[in-house]
Amino acid sequence: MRSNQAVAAAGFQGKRELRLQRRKLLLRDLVRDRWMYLMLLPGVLYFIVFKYVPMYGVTMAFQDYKPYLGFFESPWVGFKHFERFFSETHFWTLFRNTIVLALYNLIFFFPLPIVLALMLNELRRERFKRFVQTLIYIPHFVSWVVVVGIFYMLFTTENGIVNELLYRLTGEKIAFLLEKDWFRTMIVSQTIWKEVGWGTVIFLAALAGVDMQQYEAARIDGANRWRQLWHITLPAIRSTIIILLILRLGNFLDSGFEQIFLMITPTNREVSEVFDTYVYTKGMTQAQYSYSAAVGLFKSFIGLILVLGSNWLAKRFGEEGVY
Amino acid sequence: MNKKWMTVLVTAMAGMMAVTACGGKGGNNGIDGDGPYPLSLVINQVGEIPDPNNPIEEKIREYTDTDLRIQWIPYSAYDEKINVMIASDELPKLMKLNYTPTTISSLEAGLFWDITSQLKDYPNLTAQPQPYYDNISVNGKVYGVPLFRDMGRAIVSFRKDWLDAAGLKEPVTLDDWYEIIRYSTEEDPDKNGKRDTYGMMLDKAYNQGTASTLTRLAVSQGAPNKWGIDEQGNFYPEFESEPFFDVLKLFRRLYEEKLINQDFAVVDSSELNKVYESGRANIRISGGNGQSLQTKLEKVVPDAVIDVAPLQGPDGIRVPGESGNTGFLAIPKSTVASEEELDRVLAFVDKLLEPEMVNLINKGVEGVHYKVEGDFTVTIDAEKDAQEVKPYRDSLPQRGELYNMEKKAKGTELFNKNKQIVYNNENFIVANPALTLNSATYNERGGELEQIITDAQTKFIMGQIDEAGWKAEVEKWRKSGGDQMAAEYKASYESVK
Repeated sequence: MRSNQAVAAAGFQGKRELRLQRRKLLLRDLVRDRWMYLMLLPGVLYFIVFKYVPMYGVTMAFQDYKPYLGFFESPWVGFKHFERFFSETHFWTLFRNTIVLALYNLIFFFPLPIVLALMLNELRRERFKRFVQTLIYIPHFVSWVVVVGIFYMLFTTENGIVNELLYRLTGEKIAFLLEKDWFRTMIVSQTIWKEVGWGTVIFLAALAGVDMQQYEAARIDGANRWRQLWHITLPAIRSTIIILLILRLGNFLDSGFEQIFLMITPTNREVSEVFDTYVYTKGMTQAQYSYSAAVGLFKSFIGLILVLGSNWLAKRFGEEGVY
Repeated sequence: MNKKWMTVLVTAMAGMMAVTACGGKGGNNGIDGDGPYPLSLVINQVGEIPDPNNPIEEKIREYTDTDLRIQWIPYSAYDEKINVMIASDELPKLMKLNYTPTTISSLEAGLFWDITSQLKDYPNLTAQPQPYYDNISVNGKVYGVPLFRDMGRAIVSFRKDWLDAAGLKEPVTLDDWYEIIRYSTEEDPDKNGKRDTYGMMLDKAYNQGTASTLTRLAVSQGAPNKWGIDEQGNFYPEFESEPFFDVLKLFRRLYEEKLINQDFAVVDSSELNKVYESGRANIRISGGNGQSLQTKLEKVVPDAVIDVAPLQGPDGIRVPGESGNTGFLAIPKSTVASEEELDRVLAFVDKLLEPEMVNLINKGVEGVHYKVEGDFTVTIDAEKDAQEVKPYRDSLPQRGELYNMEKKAKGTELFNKNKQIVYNNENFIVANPALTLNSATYNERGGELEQIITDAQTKFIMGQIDEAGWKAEVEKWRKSGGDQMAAEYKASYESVK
């Protein structure tokens, strides 16, 4: 018993010394790298002030928040707003619309930049490649309002080019902007047009890092271009693809407010109303702050689960993950 | 890297942060200090934002002895922006509010001054007819000064040259409407050999708010204005009345026969105006003056003739009564702390209704915007007037020639005819009985309920749902709170009566 205590005491003593020593080392490092830390400070402050402190605001999801009472005086109501949201007939419509759009984007949009990057990578003339690359990522800098505006002009039934063409060919017009069956197609094609070029940038960077010697070796072994692509290029960018996929899943439920908001019409609302637009109408135009905060919080919660889940999965498959 | 440089860099950064950190609130709010009283005002933006130092605004500042600072907010985002301002407590001293559920609840919560008892101290404010104040009151209390508008503004404007050529008259029955619209779409009224005209066009707000074309047309045919009361004293919504449904069916037919624009559910009113102004559309119901359409149209089609007629149906003229305001100027308690300061702000509003200011706000500066010709004034340049005077005319309280205007504006024949119709309309107003009644359901989910119905109307007109589908949507509206709203209005109505 006693000896045990002695050992423990000695251990404690040792630990203490170790801790003291560590602290000394840390202090020394801090002093040595003081300028580095000082430069880090603005960034850290930024996150604390603009990201962490405002998070206190999510408490309003559990209150009957009234602007004139503020966060501290508004009455607490527990899960009232969540209960209302989940019992709302709207809920499943919103859920379905959001998920379906997200899946469409994942299936139809996500692979495209990879394909495009691989295609660009195969181009022999550097100058032509750069030219194409620049050309296809320009749309990224066009704002959604303009993109949707262009689509309106192209697809409207009143003198829209596409419909005029259709009319000449088939004698029929299609109300692309009004039919609910066309909504998702329009959204996904807009996203592709606008973002696909921008999406290739990261993959091209990853592709640039592939060791040319591997290709040489493969060629000597008799691998054709397809084989090279399959055995060298794709494995080389696999981790990039996975990381981007995880990051994408984090924003899985962000449907892109502006774009959808601009594309909603009374006749496609059944498929076009998503969490983001719902939060906006409830919160901003009808001033139901607590309720919309609850909806937003729910959405973030799902996003968090998706990120954690996919990260865990990625690690299980021997990839690096985001953290 | 050189250590010295690092030090400089870091200090510079720290300095920058210190500078950005001390934005914050500032300025005096005092009424004690010398010089003009600083007065911030938030109102609707009309057209371009005027230069804050333009002569009109300078004159207002000088006359009212205030340092007036106006913040203009576009119509499309107004209520939203106001909600944010209230939520973040960044309010001006005077601001325009719209009579919406959100503002009503902040009025009830006491965020703004109740000025019911003060009004009598201000000669111009107290001189305005009581109904204008009744229509913005909450539980019998008045929280602001209305931006006055005529109560029966709706008129029918049409291409007289086209109707004359076809031997048609201004519409009375729905069949008349149909025939005019059909003719002007199908029979090439502009004689250019192309089918490029519409008898009537709708924009996406065609069934929303006080300016709803559906409501206006339905009321002329005998429907109630938004809400009706049956013999038992029960409230029923306009869309459950026979005439309203007839109007809905008329538009369904027009849409199916491609006699109205097929994209009406997505078109903005500004797009629509362009088509009317370029002479490719005929008839419309509007709240403006036909003369402004005529002026613009003439530039494109020199021999075009616009005429206006009152909104009438088989029972004669029937016009939906509007609230008589386009919002009201309210005074937040958080920025105007004391009764003395409240007096200062109210005195400012009162002064705006004195003759000199009434002239300025309505007509601009003499010699620049208008000139005097005998007993009348004449606008010098309509475009300049629209750019420089209209923002103030539309967004500050004034009643035109009905109050304190020394000389009437000399208008064209059309302008005067339109004006006369609107004055005359006051005798044929169908009031909205629910306008100032209380309904908790409306406050909580009025927007949502309205959307169910407006969406269903669009779908019905476009043929996406049939009559049974429409009935089902109405049923959905009833279940989601519509019935409750009607019951609450009834209770509120009886308690006021």
